Amino acid sequence: MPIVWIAIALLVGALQYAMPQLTRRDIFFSVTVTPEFRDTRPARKILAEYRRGIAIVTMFTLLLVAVASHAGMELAGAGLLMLELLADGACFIVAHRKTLAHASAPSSAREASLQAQTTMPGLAALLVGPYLMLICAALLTRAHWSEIPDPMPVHWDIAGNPNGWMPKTWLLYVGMTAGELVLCLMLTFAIVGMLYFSRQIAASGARGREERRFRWIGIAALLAGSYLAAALAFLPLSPRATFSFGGVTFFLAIMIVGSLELLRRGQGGTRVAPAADEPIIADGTPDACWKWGAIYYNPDDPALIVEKRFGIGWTLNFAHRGAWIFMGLIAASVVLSLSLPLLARLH
Amino acid sequence: MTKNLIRVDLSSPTPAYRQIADAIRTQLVNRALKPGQQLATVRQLAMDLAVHHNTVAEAYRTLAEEGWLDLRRGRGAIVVARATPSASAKERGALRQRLRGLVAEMRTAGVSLANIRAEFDAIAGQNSDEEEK
Repeated sequence: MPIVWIAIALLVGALQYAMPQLTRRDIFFSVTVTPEFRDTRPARKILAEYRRGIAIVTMFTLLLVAVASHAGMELAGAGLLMLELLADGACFIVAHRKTLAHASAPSSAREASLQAQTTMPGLAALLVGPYLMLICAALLTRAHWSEIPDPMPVHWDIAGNPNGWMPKTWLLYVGMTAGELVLCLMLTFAIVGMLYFSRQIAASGARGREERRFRWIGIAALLAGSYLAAALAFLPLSPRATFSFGGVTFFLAIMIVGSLELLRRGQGGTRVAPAADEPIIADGTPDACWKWGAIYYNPDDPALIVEKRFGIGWTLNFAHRGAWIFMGLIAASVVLSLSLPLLARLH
Repeated sequence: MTKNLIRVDLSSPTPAYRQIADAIRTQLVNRALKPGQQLATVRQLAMDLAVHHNTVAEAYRTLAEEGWLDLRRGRGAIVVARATPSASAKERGALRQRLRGLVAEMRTAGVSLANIRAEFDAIAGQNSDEEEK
């Protein structure tokens, strides 16, 4: 088990180390700078100090995971990973504050297409798919309820073998399925938000083309995530339906490949479309609206989802009402996960 | 290639709604936008340009008042076939005044009269080509 925590701690460290290189060239540690700033001495110094901090935090986490494992406290791994993330966040905030002294005015250029948005054919069916899978899983589980062992499996290892069990109750099954439903809802929310409530920064040229591809790969990864969440609902039937773990692996593989492709392309596809001759289009999010460079709050911005300024992917505009619906779904998912042991005890 | 692209510069002294209206009008006059074509919604365009809804709504309203767009609730903005009106003497005077100002601005920036004439001929030529199509 400690090998899993060590692998995750290393992965987190490696990602945090690489993050500054993955963002757009006109943004450095979440601060708007000139595209040439990265090549200057102060920028290199800030980056080196940040990376030194990340390396120390990662080493320290690995050491603590090993010590905790040696002391038989394997569950401490999750807590140590949280601490690693917090310490990485502190390294980022220090670098962000140092970069603020070198901030420049963002580009005031904006571009957009006047064409009305068209819905992708078949998208609605793709979005509904995971919910149909959840219904199928519930009906199958009901039909084969007596064949599910007691205690029932609730956790599986990488090879698909159950390694965690809880007393078999209907409430536990309903709680698990509700958790999967909430996960699907969160991912559907993110996909719809990406499609209809987020902006494409560059609309023309090589940058616009690559950004469009980047967004579609992100949407495909999210869609695979919602199918993965729904496939989890079949797992309690695993001894009968061995295909269910294959489904989980398939959708997980799509998510991983999609995420790796996003990393290769860099934020907004900018690493594969440097297009030096094209004008820089700013992301439209003022520096002042980013709290600690990570939390976006702008009541004047109609977008619900905006590009993250550090690393890869997107984040919420917390001034938008929709952001709180998403936060509500996250809270529901946490409450459901924590209440599963209680549900298992209730008859 | 992205069709019907518009660009605005938020640091320009010209208000953003005017820039949006001017950019759309240019495409309407050039027939890059055809009658019956549906435009991006106010919400979508405001989001893409990272400006307030009201800025885009004002630009669309201006164009609707000029007879270029039909803004019916629930249908978005649709380009309409617009009969070419005959400009009144007063309107022509106002436009001439704006043109004089623009020419003066170009001269101030160092553009020669020959170049201004060439630019004007090119733009006028482009418009007449589109009208003939």
